[in-house]
Amino acid sequence: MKRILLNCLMLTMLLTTVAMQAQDKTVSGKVTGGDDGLPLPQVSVFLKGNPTSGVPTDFDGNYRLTVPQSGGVLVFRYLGYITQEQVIGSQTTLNVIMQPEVTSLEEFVVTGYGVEKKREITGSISSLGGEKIENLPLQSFDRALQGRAAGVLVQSANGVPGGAMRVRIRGQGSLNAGNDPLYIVDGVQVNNSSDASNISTNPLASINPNDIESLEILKDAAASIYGSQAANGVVLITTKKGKEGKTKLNFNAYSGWVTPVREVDMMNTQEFINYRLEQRRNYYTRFPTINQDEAEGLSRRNALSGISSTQFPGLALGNVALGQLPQADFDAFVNGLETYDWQGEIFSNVGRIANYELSASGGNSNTRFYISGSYNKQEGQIKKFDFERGTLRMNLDTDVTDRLTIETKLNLSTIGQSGTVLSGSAFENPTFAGLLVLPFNPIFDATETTGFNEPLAGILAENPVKSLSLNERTTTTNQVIANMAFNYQISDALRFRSYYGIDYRMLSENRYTDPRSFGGRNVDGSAYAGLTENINFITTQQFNYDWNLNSDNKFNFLLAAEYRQEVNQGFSANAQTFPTPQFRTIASAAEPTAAGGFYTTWRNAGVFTNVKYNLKDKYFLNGTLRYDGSSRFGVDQRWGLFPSIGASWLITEESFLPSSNFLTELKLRASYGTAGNNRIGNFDSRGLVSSAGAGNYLNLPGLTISGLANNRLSWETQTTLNLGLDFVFYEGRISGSFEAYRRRSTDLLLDRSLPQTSGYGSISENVGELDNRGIEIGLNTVNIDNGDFSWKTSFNIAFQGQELLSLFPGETNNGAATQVGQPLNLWYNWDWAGVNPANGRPFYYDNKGNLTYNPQSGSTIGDENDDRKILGNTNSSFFGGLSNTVSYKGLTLDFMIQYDYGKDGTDGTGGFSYNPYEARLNLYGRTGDLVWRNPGDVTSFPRPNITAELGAIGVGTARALQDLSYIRLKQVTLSYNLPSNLLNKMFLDNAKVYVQGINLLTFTNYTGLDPEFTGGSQTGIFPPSKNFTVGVQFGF
Amino acid sequence: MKNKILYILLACTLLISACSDLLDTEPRQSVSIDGALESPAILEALLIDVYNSFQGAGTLGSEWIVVPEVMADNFTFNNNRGTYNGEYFNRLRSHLSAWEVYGYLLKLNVVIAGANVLDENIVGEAYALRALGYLYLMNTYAYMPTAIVASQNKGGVPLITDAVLSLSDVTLPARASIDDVYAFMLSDVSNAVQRLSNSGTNARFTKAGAQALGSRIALYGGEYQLSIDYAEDAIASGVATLSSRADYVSDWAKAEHPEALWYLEYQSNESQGPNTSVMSIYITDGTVLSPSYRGNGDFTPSQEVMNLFAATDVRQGLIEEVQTANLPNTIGTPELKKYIDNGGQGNITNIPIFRISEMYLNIAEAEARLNRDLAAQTALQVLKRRSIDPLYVATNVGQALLDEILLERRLELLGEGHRLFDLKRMGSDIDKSAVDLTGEVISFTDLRILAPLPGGDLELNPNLENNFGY
Repeated sequence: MKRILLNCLMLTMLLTTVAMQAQDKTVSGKVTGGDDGLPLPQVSVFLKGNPTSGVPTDFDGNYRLTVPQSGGVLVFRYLGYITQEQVIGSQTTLNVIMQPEVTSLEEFVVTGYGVEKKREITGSISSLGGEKIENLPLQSFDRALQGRAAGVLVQSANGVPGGAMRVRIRGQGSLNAGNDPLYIVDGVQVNNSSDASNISTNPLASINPNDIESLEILKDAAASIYGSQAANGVVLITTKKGKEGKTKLNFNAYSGWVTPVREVDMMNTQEFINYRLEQRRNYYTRFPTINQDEAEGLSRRNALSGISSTQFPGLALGNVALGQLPQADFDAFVNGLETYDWQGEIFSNVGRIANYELSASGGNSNTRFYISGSYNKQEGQIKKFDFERGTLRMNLDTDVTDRLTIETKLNLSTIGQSGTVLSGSAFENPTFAGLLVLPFNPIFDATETTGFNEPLAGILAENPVKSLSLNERTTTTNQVIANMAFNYQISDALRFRSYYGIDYRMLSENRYTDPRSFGGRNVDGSAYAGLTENINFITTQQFNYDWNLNSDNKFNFLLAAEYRQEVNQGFSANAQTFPTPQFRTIASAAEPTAAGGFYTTWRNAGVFTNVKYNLKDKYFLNGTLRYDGSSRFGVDQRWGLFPSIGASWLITEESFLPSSNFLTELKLRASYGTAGNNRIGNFDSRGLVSSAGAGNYLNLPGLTISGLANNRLSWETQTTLNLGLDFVFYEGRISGSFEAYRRRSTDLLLDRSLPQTSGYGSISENVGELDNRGIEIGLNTVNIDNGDFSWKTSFNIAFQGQELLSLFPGETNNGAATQVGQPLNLWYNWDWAGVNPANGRPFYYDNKGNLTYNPQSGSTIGDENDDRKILGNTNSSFFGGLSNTVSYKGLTLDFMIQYDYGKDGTDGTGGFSYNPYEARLNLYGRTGDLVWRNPGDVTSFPRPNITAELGAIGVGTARALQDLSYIRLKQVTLSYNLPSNLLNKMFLDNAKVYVQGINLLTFTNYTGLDPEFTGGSQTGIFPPSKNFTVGVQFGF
Repeated sequence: MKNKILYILLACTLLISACSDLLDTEPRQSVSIDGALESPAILEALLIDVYNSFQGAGTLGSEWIVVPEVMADNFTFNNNRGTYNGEYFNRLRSHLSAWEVYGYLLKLNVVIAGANVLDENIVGEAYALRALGYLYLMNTYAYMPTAIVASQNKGGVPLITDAVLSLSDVTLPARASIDDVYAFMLSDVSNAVQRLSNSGTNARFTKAGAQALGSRIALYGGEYQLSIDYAEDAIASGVATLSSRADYVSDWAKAEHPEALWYLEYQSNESQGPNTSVMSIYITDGTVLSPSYRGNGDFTPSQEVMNLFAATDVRQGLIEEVQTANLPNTIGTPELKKYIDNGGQGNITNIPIFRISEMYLNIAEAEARLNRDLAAQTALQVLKRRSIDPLYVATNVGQALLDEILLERRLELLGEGHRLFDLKRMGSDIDKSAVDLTGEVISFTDLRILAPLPGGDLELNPNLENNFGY
C-alpha cells in the first residue's frame, strides 16, 4: 500500500514537471526608504509565490531579476519595512519606495505546513525567536522555553545535564494517554520519548539550540491540522537557513562552571544519637512492666547502634548495667564523636561547561546554505554526571530551475552521557544516600584497598561515594534528523511540495558494577549492555493554491496527505563475574545472566486540507479538516475527522476607528476546533498472549494474557475554544496579547478498572470528560528608549484551572487522586490536626471534624468510614516569566525571572528524614528542634519514637505536604557588543563578549533539595545546578 | 493540469482510506489471543507463568513466608529497614495480600478449560495450583472453618471457576461461603491427585505434592481423617524422605531439600535480591555456604521462641548468632538460617513449601483431634526422636498431647509462614506483649485478624462485602 501511495505521488511530480516551460524577461530598479530617502541594501526582491527565486538589492539599493514574460507580481521585503507588492506590467524598470513598518503584523510566523503573516493568524501561537535562547548553557531547547512562553509549563524531572523535560501546553488534557506535545523539527515529527534506562536522556538535546531560527508553539485549534496527534499542542522548530549574499562565518565559544543550588541541613552525630536515645526512651514506655534500668540500657544500646564496644566499652555490659551508667559517661562519649560531611563530598564537584561552535551561511542566487558544527560539554555538580555532545548541521536549498527548488536539512549528533544510579531511594543513589547516611560514618578508610570505608554502620551500608567512584553508567545517543523536500511551482498560484523526513536514533547503554563495590562484591562485578533504535519515517505531499477573486478577497488552499511510521526495537544482555576491575565491558564477563529484547511499531496516516480567506486584509478565516487514522486504535474505530475553524478581525484597519497615537493596533481572534490524542500503547486495543510481563520457571518460558481486546478503542478528542486579543499601544511601546481558552477533552482514554476477580486489572476504553480553562497574558513594554539607553520588559503569566467532569457512568473516582468535580492529581489523605500538647501524639481530623489519633480510610473512597479529604493537588495555579533587557550603547544586561505558583507536593527524601519516627537514617537538622518533648509543648511534630504510637498512625502525607511554589532568577546575561570602529580594525562583522549565570537565586518555602520536579513527590533527585559562563562570539 | 493533479491526489486519498491494511501492525512479543488457546504449548506456558508468580516476592517467594510469622509472635523486628514493619506492628490494613491470585486463576481457568488438548499432568498441575491460590486467598481474607467469629463472619472469597476471555465473561461475584470454598479446594486437590503422577521434578506439582497440599487444606478445614489420608499417601509416595538427626541442619543447604514434596526452584538469573529475599530478611551475617554474605536481617527469632527449644534440640543448629561487627544486627543476635544460598548465590534460595515433617505434624494433630492418641503419639515420636532425643517416647495424652504437638509444630515450622494461620485456626489471640515484640495483645475477635478486601473491587462490585470493621 505504501508503495502504491508513493508511486502515485511520484507520478504527480513527474506530471507537474512537464508544465515548466516559459519565456523570460528582466526587470531592474532601485529601492529606497520612505523615511530618509536613502537606498536600501539587502532588500529581498522576488516573484510572488516563489520566495526562493529572489535576489537582494545591492549596496546602492539596485536589483535586477529575471521574471517570466507573462509578468507577475514582484514582492519587496525588508526587515522593519512594510512588504510591498508591485505588478509587473510591460515595464522593465520598477523603482520602489518602502515605508518603515510600525507594526509587527507583517512578520512571518511558522504554522502547520506553512508560514503566515502575523496579521492573518487566527489561532493561539507563541513564537520565540532563536536569539532569545542563543548561547544559553542548556543542552536542549525545551529547557529554554521555561518562563518564556505563556501557558507552556516546562519542568525538569531532574537536573542531570541533558536530561528529560516535561512540557505541558495549557495543562494536562489526558489522564492516561500521553501529555507531551508533538515536536516537529523542520517538518519531521520527532519521537521525544526517552528510551534510556541508565540516565535520563532527551532526544531533543540532539539539536544544538543555537541552530534554531525560531520556535513556534501551537496552543489551540491552530494545531488541529495535525489531527490525531495534536491534542497536546505542537512545538514547531525551524532551523536556520542560509541567505543569499556574502558568506558569513560565526564563531562562538563559552566556558564556565556548575555548582549545586543548595545543600540540605542534616543532623550532626551528637544531634542524631541523642535523638535516637529520645526515640527509644519513648518507645519503651509502651512496656509498662519493664525494669527502668533495662529500658534505659536498651535505649542507649540502640542509640549507639553502629558503634562497637571497643569504641564504647559500656556496650559490652548487660542492658541493666548499661542503663545504670552515669548519663555523663554516655554524653562524654557521644560528644567526642566526629561528624562527616557526606553531602559536601558528593556535591563538591565544580563541573566544567564548555561549548564551541562554528557556523557558515551564505549562498548565491541559486543555492543557499547554512552549515554548523558544535561541541558541548557539561559536567554535573556531582562527579561522573557528564554530558558531551557533538553536532553537525547542513541546511541547503537550491533552485534547480525557476520553478523547482530542493531543500535538504541534515542534523547529525552524538551525545555521550555518564553517571551512576540515580533512582529514588536506591542505596547507591548519591543524592539519597548522601543525605541519609549516619553522620558518624567516616567516608574514607586508608586501610582499605579502595580507600573507602565500607560497609557503613546503619542500614545504608553501601558507601555512596565509593559506588559513585567505582561504578559507571554510560549512554551514547546517535541521532539523525534529516529531511528533503521538492517544491515545484506548477503555476503562479499552484505549488506542490513533496516532503520526506527521517528521525533515526540509536541508543547504546552500558552499565558496570565494579567487583569491589557493594553491589558487585557478591558476583565479582556485573555489567549490562543494551542497544535500542528508533526509526521514524514521515512523508508529506502537499499542494498549495493561491486564488484571488479580486484584491479584496484572497484565498489560499492546501491539500495534503501524510504518512508516518515508527519502529522501536532493541536488545540487551547482562553478565557477571569479571577477572579484575580493570575489565569493564560485558565482553570480559565470565557468566551471562540475562538477555532481553523488544520490538514495537505504529503507523499513522492522514489527509488534510486548509482553507484561508482574507477579506480586505482585515477579516480572516482559517479552516482545517483532517481525516486521520492510527494503527494504535481498535479495528472498528481507526479513522476519524478533526475539523477546526478560526477567524480574526483587525479592528484598527477599520475606518470608523479614528487613527490615534494611542491605539496602534488591535486584533480580535477566535478559534474553535478539535484534535486527537493518540498517545497510548501501540497495542493497547488488542487482546494478546504475550511474553512481555510473563516470567519463566525452571528455565521454561511463560506467557501471560495481556488484556481484553477493545475493537472500539479510539483517540481522545479535545475541543478547544480560544479567544484572543492582540494589542499595540503607543506605536509599539506597549504591546501584548490576552487569551482565554476552554479545552474540553472527551472520550478520555481511560483504563476502566475491572474487578480483579476477573483476572484483569482494567480494559482501555474511551470514556470521561475533562475541562481545562485558562487565561494567558503576554505583555511587552519599552520602558525607556532614548537612543543610547533602552530598557525593555517582557512579562507573561498563565492562570490555569481544571475539572474532571465525568468518568464511567456512576463512577466518581478513578483512584484517590482522580475524582469527578475536581482537578487531577489530587492529594487525598487524612487532614493533619497537629500534635496533642498533652502527650505528643499526632492528631488528625475525622470526617465529622473531630480530633482522632487513628483516622480511617474506609472500604471505598468517600464512604462513611473514610476520614480522608482533598488536601491539595500538584497542579500549578499560575506560572510564567519576566524578562528585562537593559542596554546602553554596546552593553546589554538581560535577566529573566521564572515563577510557578500553587503546586503542592511532598519531599520524598523528607518522608524518611523529616519523620519523627525514623530511626534508621539520618534526619533533617530541624526535625530535632520541632518535636514534642514535654507535656504542654505546642509543636508541629509528634513525640520522637521509633514507630507510630500504639493505636495511632504515623505522620501522614498531610503533615509532609508542602507548597512547591517558587520564584527563580533563572538567567542573567551581561554582554558587550564591540563598537564598529574597533570591529573594522579587526576585520570582523560583529563581536560580542558576555558573562552569564543560570539559576542564581531561588525563593521558595520548600525544604527539600529543589522545588522543581515533576509529579507530586520526589525522592533522591538530582537537583538543578547553578551555572556561570563566559563567552565570546565573532562574526566574519 | 490543475484538475488532473487534484484528481490524482484525491485518488491517492481514497486509496489510503480504502486500504485498511495500511495501518495494520503486528507485535512480535505477543500473539493474538484468538486461536492461541487451542495450542497446548501456549497453555503450558500460561501454567509456567503461574509457577513464576508463586515464586515472586509478593507470594511464596517472600511475603507469604515472612508475613504470617511476623504478624504472629515468633519474630522480633530489628528496625533495620521498613520492610514488613507495618505487618509486624499489626497496623490496621498492613496485612497479607493475596487478591492478585485472581490474576493467576484467570490463566489456570484457561488451562483447565483447554484440558482436552492437554497432557493429564499439566491439567493436574493447574488444579493443584488453583487450590493453592484459593488456600492463600482464604488464609488471608476469611476465617478458617475451625474457628469463626460468627458475628463478624462475611464468608469466604469469590469463587471464579471459568475462563474469562471477553468483557461479557466478567462477573461481579459475591463471596462464597467458607465451606463452599473449602469444598471447592478439596475437589481441585482430588482432581489434581487423579491426574498427576509421581514422576518428574518436585519443583513442579507431583501427585505427592498435591496430596501434601490436600493434607494441609483438610487440616485447616477440620477434615482430619482426609488430612491423615493425604499425608500418609504423600509420605508413602517416596518422592521425599525425612531428614535424619545428623543431616537435619545440612539438608537445608542442599539445592533441593530432601524433605520437599514441593519446592520453589530459582535459577541463577532469578535472584530474589537483597530487598525481598527471605534469606536477606532473616539473615545479616554469613552462611555456611558463603561466609561473606551480608543481608538485612530485619526479623530474628524472639527470646520467647529461643527459650522454647530444649537443650538437645538439633534445630538450634539452624539458629546462629551474629559474629561480625558493623552489621545491621549486633553481635550475638540469633538469626534463623533455614533459607540460605542453596541456589548457588546470595539471595538465591530454593524454598520448600511442603515438607515431609509437616505431614507427620498434620497426622499427629489430626489423630489427636480425632482422639486417637496412640496414632498421634506415634507420629509425634518420629519427629521428636529426630529433633530432641533418639530414644524419646511420647507419653502425654489428651490436651497435653495436643499442646505438645502444637509446640513441636511451632518449632519445626519456625519461619516457614505457618504461625499466623495456626493461631487463627485455633481461635487464639496473638500475644506480642514481650519486650522484644510490640507490647500488644491482639484478640482473636480483633478485626486485624483478617485482611481488608481491596478497595478497587469493593468499589466496582456491589456484591462484594468487606471484612468486619473495615
